[in-house]
Amino acid sequence: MNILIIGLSLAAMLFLLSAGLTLIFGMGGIINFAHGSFYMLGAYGGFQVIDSTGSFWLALVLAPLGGAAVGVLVERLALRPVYNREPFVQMLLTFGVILILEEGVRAVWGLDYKDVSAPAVLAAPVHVLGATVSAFRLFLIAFGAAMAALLFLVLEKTPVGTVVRAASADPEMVRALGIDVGLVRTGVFAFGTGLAALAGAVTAPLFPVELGMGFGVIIDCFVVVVIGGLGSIKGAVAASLLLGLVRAGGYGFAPEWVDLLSYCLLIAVLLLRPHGLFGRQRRLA
Amino acid sequence: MTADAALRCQALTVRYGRFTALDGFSYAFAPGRLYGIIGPNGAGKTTLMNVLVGGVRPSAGSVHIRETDVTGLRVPARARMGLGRSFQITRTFAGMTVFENLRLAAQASVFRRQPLWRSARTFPETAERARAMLATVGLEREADRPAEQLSHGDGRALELGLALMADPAVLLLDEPLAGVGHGALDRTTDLLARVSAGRTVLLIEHNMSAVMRLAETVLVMMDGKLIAQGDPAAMRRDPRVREAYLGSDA
Amino acid sequence: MRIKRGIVAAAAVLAIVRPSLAAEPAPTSFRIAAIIGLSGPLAVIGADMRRGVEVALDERNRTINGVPIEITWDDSEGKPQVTVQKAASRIAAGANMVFGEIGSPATVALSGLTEQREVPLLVTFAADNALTTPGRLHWTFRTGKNVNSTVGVTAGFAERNHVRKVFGITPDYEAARDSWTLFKTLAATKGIEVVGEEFHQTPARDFSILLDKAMRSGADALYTVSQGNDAITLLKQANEVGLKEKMKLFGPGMVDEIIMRAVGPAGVDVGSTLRYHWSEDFPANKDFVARYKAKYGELPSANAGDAYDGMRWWLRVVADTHSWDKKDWVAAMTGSVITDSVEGRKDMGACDHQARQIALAGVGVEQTAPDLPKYGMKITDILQPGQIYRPCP
Ligand SMILES: Nc1ncnc2c1ncn2[C@@H]1O[C@H](COP(=O)(O)OP(=O)(O)OP(=O)(O)O)[C@@H](O)[C@H]1O
Ligand SMILES: [Mg+2]
Repeated sequence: MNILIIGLSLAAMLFLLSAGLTLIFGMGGIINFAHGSFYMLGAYGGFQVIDSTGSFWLALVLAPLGGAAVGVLVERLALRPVYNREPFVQMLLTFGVILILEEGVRAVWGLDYKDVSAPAVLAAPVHVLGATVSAFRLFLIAFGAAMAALLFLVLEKTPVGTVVRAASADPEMVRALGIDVGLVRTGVFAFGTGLAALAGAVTAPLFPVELGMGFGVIIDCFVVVVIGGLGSIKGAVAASLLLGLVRAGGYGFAPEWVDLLSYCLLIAVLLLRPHGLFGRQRRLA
Repeated sequence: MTADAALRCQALTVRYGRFTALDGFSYAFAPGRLYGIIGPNGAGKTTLMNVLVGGVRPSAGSVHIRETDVTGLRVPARARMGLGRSFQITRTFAGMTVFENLRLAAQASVFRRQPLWRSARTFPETAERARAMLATVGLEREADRPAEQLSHGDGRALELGLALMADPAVLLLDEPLAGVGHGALDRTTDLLARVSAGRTVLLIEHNMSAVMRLAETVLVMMDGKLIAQGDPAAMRRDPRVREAYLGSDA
Repeated sequence: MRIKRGIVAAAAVLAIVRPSLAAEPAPTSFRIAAIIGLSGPLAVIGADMRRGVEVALDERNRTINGVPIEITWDDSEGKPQVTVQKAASRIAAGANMVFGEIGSPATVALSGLTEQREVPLLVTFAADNALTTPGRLHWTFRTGKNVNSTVGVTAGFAERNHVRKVFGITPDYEAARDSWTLFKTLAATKGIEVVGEEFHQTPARDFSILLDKAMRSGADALYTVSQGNDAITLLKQANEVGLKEKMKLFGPGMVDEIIMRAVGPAGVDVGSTLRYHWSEDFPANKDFVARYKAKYGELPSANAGDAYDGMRWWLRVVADTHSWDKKDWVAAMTGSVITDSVEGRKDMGACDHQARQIALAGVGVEQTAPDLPKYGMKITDILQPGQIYRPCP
């Protein structure tokens, strides 16, 4: 029971983290290494909001907005000029963004760890079927599921989603239809970085809030995105669930091998399905 | 004549390094006419089209849509001014059904007038228009198939449908018949004739019999230049054209 | 052949005679090469150590026997390789001593270099026993507390808190496993039963399953060797399931002022060893705390105090030799005694170069005094050196 709940909560966190990364990749083919830095930015932003207003919920609203705003700047100033350049140029740029964001956070908030606590209503553990589980984890599961459902509906059922999917399939054709792909790209990038910041804010009560926090998570993000298939939200959901449950099981039976287990899963999926669970062979042109 | 041209270009030149793909091309396309553009491989036809729609920046020269200078405008802006196109290599949206493809195009034309957020209300309208276009291009039965699974001819028809959704005043078609199987050739040619009515059409095509049937004026290009133009029958007889091109088909 | 033998003999004679031939001339400056983590996860620790050392230098007006003290700060990035590289180039440029690093692996690597180059190394933070194995290192001194002492303190803490059954969570690397094994041995002598143990990777991403196991094990205390980020993650996630209400939580270096700031209420009542605490009641400490507060506007953290005390001791010993020969410094430091350190008397072990000193146990507390951060540490027990260290033979 506990393994299941904890596994689901890990899955929820993995999904929140990786959804933005996979969306951004799907859109412009950009591998955003700075995703972890936006996650960190969200956690610090969340801390700031809680510190000033005392409201965790307000932090969940404002931190992603801040992350999205910074995302707009990054996309406009750094990425827009290099969409048609070799992938390594884009990679280098996102690395540069990491350094800038980190220096910025350091200048504003200093080196110290920040304390972010769960809101009072979720602070006490609850008892479910005889097991003691964290109320905050149950909230995370619900939150992650809701976000996944929302994203899925937006992408699959709304006109905005259709445009996003089309623009990731063939930007040139979308332009020919009279849609400003640049605007769509900025929007998707900002949305993705906003999601990363949201993940940072919502998981801050469970992890150290410090300058290096982005590095640890970025690897997890890539594992999820690669297992799920680059650019696929459905894939991100499936891969998060798979990885979250495997991890939880791993902690249960052989905690010193959890990382190895994750990488074995990655390799196994790639051997069986080289493009990931829901990946498609991408047109390169 | 020049004053009311649907599309006019002036001394268009495109250089790739030291190679000149388009060399001082000038022409005024009159409204409502169908122009066939022919010329051997590498003559610069696709380059011309790319410059006209805004995908390629000319090294020199200008483009006007209804006498508005659009040389500085990019693809989406020109598309919103009534320029539609199809690509030499069929481009539709893989991963979406035929219907979704068309609905997207319908939305795109709606977005020109409305902000993205209000578009949920335009659902019935866009769906209806997409369904109407299915009928126009003859793809009713393929509506729910993923676009990437269509036969080549049907893919062409879908691409044409996408371009037509915005009801463009000027339609640029880059070899719409290339690769279409014999069975579907007549059907696609008929379709082209039908949808061209009332528009200015620039039809790049290697299939000479189709050009002869559809075009009212034929432009002949070679080495990035316009070397001859006139009605199809005259062009067919023109010795320069024969020399440059006609050996390959007809 | 004969010539060759002659040269060898001459060299041998020179080598023996050289030290007494002439005293080393006074250098133009006394150069300290400090190599610590100033970026990444160690930056929080490194920044405080640096502040402590700066206060120690200020106290001497930044001179020693009339020669200016010149200190360079290099960022080790917490990596053994970078540490050794940067130290090597500082030594090549004439550093008189090296100060650093923070983590045990980097510090052990650094000691290898300083031994080979015959340059003194002052260690305040790294607790690995390998740095003070008797007879192993000649040029290395640790003024800070070692693993054995910290584990001894926690075992005492368990006893005083009437812990009967303990569950252990330990990071999966050798020094940590050794520390846990040592605790188990000590616990057994005090009649404390170990009911379960788990090992985790570091950095650990999630502790909730391990914590769940601990809570179901029937243990009345959770002992953990996890440090830094791992400790923070563990404390936050323990708080999430109300673990502290069910069992005592403690470990060597589990919480300090930095971690209390990171976890807030989740660290209250958690037991830990302390490297140093600003409240220690010694005249030299009152003095140091006042200087530190005047310079930086806040109370010194454990890492700042620890680094200050080690550097102050070392510089005093060097000054007292009135020599510029590194060998003289090492000879003087070996077996040296400081009676007025910020923690009272400290004896440098002649056999192992480990300073014998008092040890502190404490718990995380919420603080209400206006000039204190909201969460901090409180000393609960002070152990005398004789209770922890074996004397050198
Ligand atoms: N991006 C480019 N860089 C360099 N040369 C180019 C580029 N694009 C086109 N060209 C060259 O410009 C010339 C004209 O090409 P274009 O595609 O316009 O010919 P076309 O008339 O459409 O030929 P086809 O009938 O084969 O489609 C060709 O020689 C082509 O190789
Ligand atoms: Mg062409």
